[in-house]
This record gives sequence, C-alpha cells and structure tokens, in this order.
Amino acid sequence: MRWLPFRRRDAADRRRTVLRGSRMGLNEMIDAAVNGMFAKPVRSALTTLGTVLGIGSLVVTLGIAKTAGAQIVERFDALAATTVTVEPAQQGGGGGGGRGNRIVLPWDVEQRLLPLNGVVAAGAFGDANTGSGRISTNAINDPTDRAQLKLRVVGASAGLFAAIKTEPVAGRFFDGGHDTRADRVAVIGQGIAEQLGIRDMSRRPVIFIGEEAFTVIGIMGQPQRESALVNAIIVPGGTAAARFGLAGPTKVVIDTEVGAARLIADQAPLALRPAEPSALRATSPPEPQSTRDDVSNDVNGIFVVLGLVSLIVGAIGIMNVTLVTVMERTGEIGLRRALGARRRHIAAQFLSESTTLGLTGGIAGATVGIIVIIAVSAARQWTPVLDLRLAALAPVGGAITGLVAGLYPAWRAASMEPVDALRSGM
Amino acid sequence: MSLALTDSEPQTADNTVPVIRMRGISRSFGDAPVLRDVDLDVQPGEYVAIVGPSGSGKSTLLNVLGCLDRPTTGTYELDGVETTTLGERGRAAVRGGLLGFVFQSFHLLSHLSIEDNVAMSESYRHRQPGTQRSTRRERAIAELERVGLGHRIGYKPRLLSGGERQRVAIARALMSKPALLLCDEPTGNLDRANTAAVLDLFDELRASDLITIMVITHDGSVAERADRVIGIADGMVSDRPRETS
Ligand SMILES: Nc1ncnc2c1ncn2[C@@H]1O[C@H](COP(=O)(O)OP(=O)(O)OP(=O)(O)O)[C@@H](O)[C@H]1O
Ligand SMILES: [Mg+2]
Repeated sequence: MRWLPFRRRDAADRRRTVLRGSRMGLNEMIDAAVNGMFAKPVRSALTTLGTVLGIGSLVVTLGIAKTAGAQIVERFDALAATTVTVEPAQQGGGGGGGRGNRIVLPWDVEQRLLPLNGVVAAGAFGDANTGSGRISTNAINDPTDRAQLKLRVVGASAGLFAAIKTEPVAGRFFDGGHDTRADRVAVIGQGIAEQLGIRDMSRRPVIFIGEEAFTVIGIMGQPQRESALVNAIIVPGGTAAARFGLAGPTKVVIDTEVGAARLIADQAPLALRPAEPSALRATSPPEPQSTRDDVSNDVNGIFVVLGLVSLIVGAIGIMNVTLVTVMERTGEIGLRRALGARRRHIAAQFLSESTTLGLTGGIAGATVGIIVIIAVSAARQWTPVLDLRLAALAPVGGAITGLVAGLYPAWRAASMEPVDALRSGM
Repeated sequence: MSLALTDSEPQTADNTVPVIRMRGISRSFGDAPVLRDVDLDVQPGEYVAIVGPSGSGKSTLLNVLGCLDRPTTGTYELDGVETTTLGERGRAAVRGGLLGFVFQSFHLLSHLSIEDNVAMSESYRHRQPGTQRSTRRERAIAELERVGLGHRIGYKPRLLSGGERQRVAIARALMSKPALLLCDEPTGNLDRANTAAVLDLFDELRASDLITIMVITHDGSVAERADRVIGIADGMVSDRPRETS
C-alpha cells in the first residue's frame, strides 16, 4: 500500500493518484546525468582528466608491475628455480685433486640422476691440480710468452654442458666416449679462447697444459650456471683422472623441470651415494612462489599508493567542479524543487552526474592505461600481462571515485531551501 | 484532451471547498514580521491578482501558497489538504501534483529543448504503471501546442523571444494539470504585446479548465483582467475594490 501524504477531504479525493510520491527511474537519472555532462562538454572533459590520470596511472602501474614482475619471475624461474647443486657435506678449501678430502661424488652422475623424474640434465665437475704446469699454445716453454698463463683446469662429465646451460660458440663439446677413452681433448671457455687467441676449430688448435698437448675441440659460450667456468679449460673427467690425478668431482649440477627442484634435491644424495647419502649436501632454490610474491608485493605496494594518490587528486577535482556546478545551477535546483523534486531527487541528480563523470574518466583511464602498458611492453620487448579484472574494475573504480566525490556537493544541493534556491535566478 | 481536473469529478465537490483557505498565517524572518495574521480564501476557478509595494511581502505570500516556504504560524489548506503539517515528501508531492509555477525570469534550462523543459517535472510525479516516456513527450508537445508553440518543437530556449519563453514556462506549469497556477510577475520581463498574449492564454485556461490563477503584478493591465485584486500592506492582506477604467 502506498502512503498517502496527508489527511484529505472529499474534494481532494481526485488528487489521490497525483499526490503519490514519485519514483525516478534509473534510466531517467542516467539520461539527466549524461545531459548534464554534455551541457558543458569541455568542462566535463577537463574534470574527468584527474580521474583519467588517476585510473590510468593505477592501471599502468599495476599492469607494468605485473608485466615487470612476470619478467623477473620468468628469469628467476628459468634459472634459480630449476637449479639443484650437490656438494660434499663438509667441504675443504680448494677441493682440488682430492688432497686430504674424502672423495664422495661419483663421475657417472648422468646415469644415476637422469632416471629420476624431473631431472632434465646433470653433470659433475672438479678442479684439476695441474701443479706448476702452465698453459700455452705452443710446446716451447717460454716464460716471456704473453700467451703463457696459469689457468683453471676442470675435469667434467659430458653432461655438465647441458646442466650448466651453455652452447658451443665454435666446434663441439666432448662426449662420453672421450671421457671413457681419456682422450686428450679440451673445451675452452669463451673467455680463455679470447686470451689464447683461439677462434678457428677447423685448424684443430692445440693447447699445452704443462707438457701435455690437448686438442681444442670446442669453445664454450657463457654458461647460465657456474658462470666462472667461462674462464676454465674443461677436459673429460676420465682424462683429468688419468693426466692430473683428479680423484673425483667436487660438485654436481642438476637442471630440473620447473617445480621439481625440491624433490630432486631430496632424492639426489641417495641416488649419488646410496650407501651414505648424508655425506652429501644438496642445495635447492628458495620456494619460487614466495620469491614471486616478495617481488610483486614490493613493486605493487609502491605503485598502488601512487595510483591511489592520483585517484584522490582526481576525486578532489570532480568534487570541486561538482560543487561549482551546484552553485551555478542553484536556480535549476530551485526550479526542480518547485516542480515536485524531493531532496533525494536533487542529491541523486548530482550524485549520478559525478558518478557518470567518474565512470567516463575510469573508462578513458583504463583505455589509456592499457595502451601505455602495451606500448611500454613493446618498447622493452616484454610480454604484456593484461589482467582483465583490472580492465573491468578500472571503470568501476572511476565510478566509485565519482560517487564519493559527489557526496558532499550532492548534500549541499539537497539541503538548499527551495525559496532560497529560486531567488538566485537561473 | 482537457485536463483531468474536470474529467473525473463533479463540479459540486469543488464548490464546497475553497482551493485556498488560509487562517492566521504569519511569516517572519528573524524578528521582522513580513506576513501578519493573514486570512485568505480563494474559490476554484478564481483569477486573483496580488498587488502591493516592493518589499511588502507578495513573493513571501506566494512562496507560502506554493509550499516552497513554511509559515511561522497559522494553517493553510490547499484543495482541502492541510499543508502546514506535511513533511518534505508531502510538500514536494503537493508542489508537483497540485501546483504550477510561473516565474518572472522563466527559469528554463538552456541545454534542454523546449519540450524536454516542459516534460521535466514528470520525473518527479507518480506515474501510472506502464506510462511510456514517449507518451510524456507527446503530452509535452500537446501542452506546447496549446500555448501556441507547436511550430517551435525542438528549439532550445535561447532561440525564442521572451514572450515565447514565458509561454514555454506556462506549458511546463500545465504539465501537472494543476489546481492552482502561481505566477510571480509573469509579465515583468515582457513587452505590452507579449503581456497581452500571456493574459489571453490565462483567460483560455480558465475557460477550458477549472484552473485557479494567482498572479503577483505591478502591471495595472494585468490586475485589471483579474476577478479579484488583493493588496498587501504592512503584512496584512485585504481585498481591493476593482479599479474601473
Ligand atoms: N529569506 C529572507 N530572509 C530575510 N528577509 C527576507 C527573506 N525573504 C524576504 N525577506 C524580506 O521580506 C520582505 C518581503 O519580501 P518579498 O520578496 O516578499 O517582497 P515583494 O513584495 O515580493 O517585493 P518585490 O515587489 O520587490 O518582489 C522584504 O523586506 C525582504 O527583505
Ligand atoms: Mg517579489
């Protein structure tokens, strides 16, 4: 039942319908709001500018943070998250040649580890003790020769190259056959190749380690793991054992599938040393999810604050202009009250206007923001990470900004007395 | 179509109850009384002119009559409805449903077409369920045709002359099918010819609908055409004898 606003007499009977309260439809309000917005298009555009900037920067900052975060996480994931290393539990100083150190790691790590589910590649290496043997590109031991250097020589299993993620920049890497036969072949790191002036593999270059001649079969590019090996001469483990008395490797590097690192770290010691797994210490990366969150939270936190600040600035802009509009349209407010508008109709009118302004700003801001994200990503050759929820929430955020910004002006408009409002003229 | 006012009810009911029945109305601003103990009865269909010197309280009286302002004391029944006890909602409903206002300075919204200006008040009135917005527009156009502006549909107010603008404002006031039309110096900004056109329109409205008109005026020619002239002096209201010319 509808409420009849007053006591009536016979003659007022016919007014029953007319005097019922009104319900202003939503579409009417939106219509009026859009009308109001286009009544002063330039001002409306300038007013929304603050919200456009606020929402835009929020979308950009969050979007870029997400995109940049994804880049960081991607790189982090690709390397650290899939790396497991195994070393002897108590490690002595240099670990070279097994002097005084108990040899606990085997050479045949590929055979032992590759059957484990989640292992992509595995390899072992250890530093060979070449004594006072110097490295040079010719047989004559000439102390004045600049190409005569004291360099790190490493014995390695054939799987190491894959495990440390490197590619030959020239020639090839040695394989299991070289290892078993203890061939005198060497792969030299890119850094050393430059120092020794070795470039061309077709001429089968030879280097001398002390008195021993080794054929250089390949030059190794910068490895993504154990990057110091770029400055080492790498010979097959069998060769190092035979020529330099290297008793065993001192480190095992395992490349795992994403997400398998922890599991492999648990299993590797047993696979490598079933009799005494506790002699080995496996190191796996920190939980990648937590790293991802740490990175993202830091970045997002700052950017969200910045975006919110610009949004507040935008809201103040809308509030100011809506207040000015209310003052300018005092006469209109009076007129509407005279035509039967209630206070709430007036409040709703200005609220829907400010909300429409905010919504428009939000849509424009989201659009600008997404364009900027795509442009920045293109410039940095990143994959843009566009969160659809963000794109959908941005206009809503703009509308809420407008709504909140309109509260005070709407209250001012609604609390005007009709007589006072009418007196101000149009 | 004529106004609903005369459609549904027998005339006899109207004749027993005055449209306006004020008793002991006073209005002061602070300590300054503007209206003092005003008693006023206006019968349905009457055309009343309110005259008086500037600052005498004519607009104040009209604002109270229009439920735009509350009297300090007294009772005021409008069309049988006691208005002084109404709340904000009731007063808004009275303004939108029983009253029509015409102001000296037209009060048209410049960014709306004249038919949208006329239709504006419909948003604030209770609608029969299912009333279309197109119906509303048709009614606005019908009102504009009635005031002789059918050929100006689609125009913005700024393209119209003062007289035409005031007729748009009258059409807007008629949208509510008011029982009482309240006009505060409606011809104050008009020349002689346009004033005459507005007064002719008032006469037509009284003839076709049983509409009560109250007009504040400084213009003798306006007062001349009224049924009754009331004057305000020292906050008191009294009937003036018709000036016969
Ligand atoms: N809101 C108000 N606050 C204080 N005084 C007011 C207010 N409204 C009106 N008055 C005073 O009441 C008196 C009557 O004003 P009103 O506007 O009713 O005069 P009027 O008869 O319409 O004059 P005019 O012919 O110039 O329009 C004036 O002295 C005015 O200053
Ligand atoms: Mg006045």
